[in-house]
Amino acid sequence: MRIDRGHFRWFLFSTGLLVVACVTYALYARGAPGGPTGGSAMGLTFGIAGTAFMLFAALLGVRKKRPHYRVGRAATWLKGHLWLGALSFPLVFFHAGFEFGGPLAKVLMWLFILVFLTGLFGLALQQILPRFMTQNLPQEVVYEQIDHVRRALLEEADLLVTGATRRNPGVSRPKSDGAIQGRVVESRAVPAVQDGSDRAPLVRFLDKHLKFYFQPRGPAESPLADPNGRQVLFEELRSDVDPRLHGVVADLEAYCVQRGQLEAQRRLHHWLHGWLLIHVPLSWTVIFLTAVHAVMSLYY
Amino acid sequence: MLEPKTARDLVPRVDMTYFRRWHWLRVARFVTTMLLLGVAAFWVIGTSALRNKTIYANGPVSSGHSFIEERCGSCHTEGFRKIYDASCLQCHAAAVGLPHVPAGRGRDPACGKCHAEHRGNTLLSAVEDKHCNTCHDAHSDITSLETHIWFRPQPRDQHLRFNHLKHLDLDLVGGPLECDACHVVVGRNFAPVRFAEHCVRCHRETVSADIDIVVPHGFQIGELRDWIAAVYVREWLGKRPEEISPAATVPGRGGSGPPDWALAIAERTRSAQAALFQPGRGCLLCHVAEGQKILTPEIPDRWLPRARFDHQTHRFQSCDRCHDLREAMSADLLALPRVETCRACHNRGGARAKCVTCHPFHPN
Amino acid sequence: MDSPAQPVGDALGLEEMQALPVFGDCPPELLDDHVGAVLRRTFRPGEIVCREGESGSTAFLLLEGEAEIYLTSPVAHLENVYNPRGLLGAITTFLQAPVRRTSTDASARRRIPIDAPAELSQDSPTTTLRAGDLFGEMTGLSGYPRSATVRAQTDVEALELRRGVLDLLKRRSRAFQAQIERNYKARALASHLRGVPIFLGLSDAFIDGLRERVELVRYEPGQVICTQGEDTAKLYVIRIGFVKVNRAHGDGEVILRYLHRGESFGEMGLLGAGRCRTTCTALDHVEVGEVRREDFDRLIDAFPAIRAELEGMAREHTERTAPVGSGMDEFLVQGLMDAQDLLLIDLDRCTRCDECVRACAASHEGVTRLIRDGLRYDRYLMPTSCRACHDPLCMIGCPVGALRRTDSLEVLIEDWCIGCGLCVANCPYGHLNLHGSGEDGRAVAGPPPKAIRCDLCAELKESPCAYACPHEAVLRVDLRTVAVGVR
Repeated sequence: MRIDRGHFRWFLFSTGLLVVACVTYALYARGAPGGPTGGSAMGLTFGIAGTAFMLFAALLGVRKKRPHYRVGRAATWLKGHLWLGALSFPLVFFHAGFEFGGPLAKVLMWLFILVFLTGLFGLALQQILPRFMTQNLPQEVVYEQIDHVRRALLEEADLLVTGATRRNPGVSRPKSDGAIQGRVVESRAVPAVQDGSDRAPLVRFLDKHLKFYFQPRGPAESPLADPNGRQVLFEELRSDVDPRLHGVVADLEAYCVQRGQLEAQRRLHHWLHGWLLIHVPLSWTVIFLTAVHAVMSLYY
Repeated sequence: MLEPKTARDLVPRVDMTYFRRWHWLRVARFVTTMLLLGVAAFWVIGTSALRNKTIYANGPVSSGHSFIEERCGSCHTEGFRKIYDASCLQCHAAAVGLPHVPAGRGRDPACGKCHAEHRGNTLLSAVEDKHCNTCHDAHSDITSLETHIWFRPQPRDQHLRFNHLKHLDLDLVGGPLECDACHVVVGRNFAPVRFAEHCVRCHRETVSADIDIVVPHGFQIGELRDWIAAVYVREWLGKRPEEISPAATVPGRGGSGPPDWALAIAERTRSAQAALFQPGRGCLLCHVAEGQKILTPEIPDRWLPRARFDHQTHRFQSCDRCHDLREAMSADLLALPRVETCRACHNRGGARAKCVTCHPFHPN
Repeated sequence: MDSPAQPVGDALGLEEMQALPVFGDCPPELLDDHVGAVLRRTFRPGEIVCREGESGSTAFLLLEGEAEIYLTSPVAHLENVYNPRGLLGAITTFLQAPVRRTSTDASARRRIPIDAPAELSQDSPTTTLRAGDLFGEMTGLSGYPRSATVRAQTDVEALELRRGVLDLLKRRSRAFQAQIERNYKARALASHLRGVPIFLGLSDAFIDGLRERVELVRYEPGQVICTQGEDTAKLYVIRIGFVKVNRAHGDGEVILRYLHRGESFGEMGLLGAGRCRTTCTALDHVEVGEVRREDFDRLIDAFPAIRAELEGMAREHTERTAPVGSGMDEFLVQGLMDAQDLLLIDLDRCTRCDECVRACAASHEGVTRLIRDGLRYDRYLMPTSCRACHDPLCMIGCPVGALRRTDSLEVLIEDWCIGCGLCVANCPYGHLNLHGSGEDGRAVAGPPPKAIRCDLCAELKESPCAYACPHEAVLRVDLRTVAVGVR
């Protein structure tokens, strides 16, 4: 979520709470003869508060299972997750007296720190990556459809090259006017070229470069991945083929650009969502171990 | 500009149920969550099954309890309750001793209040000043050696006058006295200084300096009258048998009143008594009298009973390191060190300076 | 759509055509041009003549026999499920939609308008066609999909007419046109007249009288039927075709809706309650039944009670002012200009998490109306969801008239949608989809497809997509009142 002015009240509230907690902790830690410990009354208070905030943060996952339920806007829940979850971090440290404790408590503390750090990392990504994607991926598609679109593009390229007369929707070229960007999707029936012009260079190009580039792992190694390399190769192609087929070449180039964007989109999407692979499992483990820790510490 | 038909052509490329499908990111997240939870559960349940509950401890137990570290039930007898003193007293009853807080002034704190377990491989008996200060800084403003009041020896008034300085300047027996001439170490402390053992070596005849006989020590002046008189009588008897006339010994003949010799003895006795009782001389050279009665000196075995000081551990220090007689003390009996003297070594970074170093909570 | 099946029948030659009474009025030289455009088809009992939803370009004129015309698609719709069942149901209902706006739309049609002389009722959508009935007229003239399934009940002989011949017959053959008019007046006109709001509860006698005074007039594509501001003093009831209703505004025009068969306009003009408030233009080959005010006045003299009631309505109407849109925006990018209620996703905030899509699906029986792909403008994405266009192109051409526009801008799809997909194809933004179909919108065997579209969630204070977005990236804007910032 972008941190902007809408967070100001949350920020004020959290900072206020944090100041109160710090002052309370300072007084408590100084006064306690044995030092601050989790089992003292004050320590338990910090522990309960920290756990309560942690639980609320964890409930975000549950909230997302029923996105249409009217239990508070998802944005409000996420703000709560961010600010109260962040607050739980110092509260837990106050509870522990900045000690890491026994084996279970140590593991729990380290996992908790990891959860916090990955959360911060994800938050940072969310400030940067969406805008980055918007600006650099004008031909973004739905992530789950990337493979489908990639295959469709290859099919279209194939049909273009072999010269079958076909309407090919989905050829998409970026077009921008000032700040407005979008795509022009044109459909064009490419008639079978009757005048004997040689499509062989196109077919060669297709077999040699395009088919590989359009494979799932193509962009890693193909010369078409690099804009300069692409330009060079297409210049060559243009010089090789009949001028009447230059429209086809232009279309193929547009396909390549789009293919590159799909790959970039895939990678960026993985960055934007990959940190959750650590954050979510760890946080559920933290919840579980917190419950164990609470029960067993009180038992003993 | 963009054609109106463009969006429509994009749409067929999107499968309408794409968001419901389990893409590998979602699957991975789910699987990882389950795996981690499984590992955590396995750990928790496994250690419980192996009857090893030490993972729940806040830290290692103290070094003294390490042999029962695995046996949590030794001290944690009841779940969800704190540990009662009874658990500690199972083994440590003998060491604990009497209550610390006097009866009627409150209750002793629980064992665990000052002896915090599970703080690591510590010495559980090393209790920090902070614990003492939960009660004592309110009562007496003493929070550490830095704020310790001056030492107040008991009793205040010893009823004895003794000048250490003079004793150290004497040219006796080839030089000044050494401390150990009178102060003999016995265990942690010293044997009491007794006239009969220590002072008598030099002062056997000091008391009697002004009279011509040597009187024994330890008697009131009144009690000494007969003894002095007997000495004089013996002396008179020994020297002038001829002066003893029969008539003089028979009461009633040869004049009124006691015979001269008796009077002379009585006179001599009286003057000896008076000489002994002169201020600053005789008995009163050292003793203090109230009226005619010499007060018994109150020299306790321990001058500072509320603390425990061990002269054995300080045996490598010379006496005058702490007992400064030349400057600090004037003509005074006591030459006890001041608290500043202790602080010279017992400070932060130096010798142990905790409350319990000198003031044990448990008398035993 | 599937390609039309190969016709199995004999193309009529000139003599054969001339032999038919229906071609009696047509000059032979004109008939000559259309040799081969007429097929004689025969069907055995039980044979399907045409299926609903199929594409076609011909009309069928029944010569002999009886055929059944019906809808196989279930009359059903996907409904937002707010049915409480027990305590848990009550709780989930409460959680899902505690705030509902009252819908301003009240009309509920009972009869399904199809491309045939008769109409079908919702409860039992089937009726019988007899000799002399023409069905598929709109398909033949304008190429719309077949509106219903026709099956021969007896041995049926029919003429399959292509567009040119049909056109010729309509222009030249008086007998042909008279037959159509007769059929229409006998079987469908009454229900159409009852569909006029002011005539809703009136007696049969009145309706019968009115029916006599209806005159069918034909309009060519693009021809204006009535102009805003003029006092046409006529009631128009549409027999076939689509009529565009727009209102001038400033330099441009606002398209209010498209009217289809069975709908009417101009009733207030009939009552003398004012001039035309809109311009009505024929979109394709339109035939309307017109009732002139003079005829109406003469009729109404016989029904004084009704006159009083109608005059009251007329007064009410002139007093009421309908809200008009506040003017066109300067925003001249195509598509945005159309939108009155636009869904935008701010791509600088969107993390592509699909919560909005899931929420939409969750509130719409598991079928999402929102697809997170579409055109982008600046940093905003316009996903596929209904924009409540000024010009609702989706409404044009529905063979069963299942698209209806309410006062609150929503375009609703009636339960009897036959899943032909024309509206899906018409929407320039791809915001209509067929549900129950396979990939790429092609219908597959199984549950028949129904068209679905974003319903703007008018019942709720805040649509689920905006509600469920954790990053506040989903916005609903009305471009007439809000300026969307463009860098």
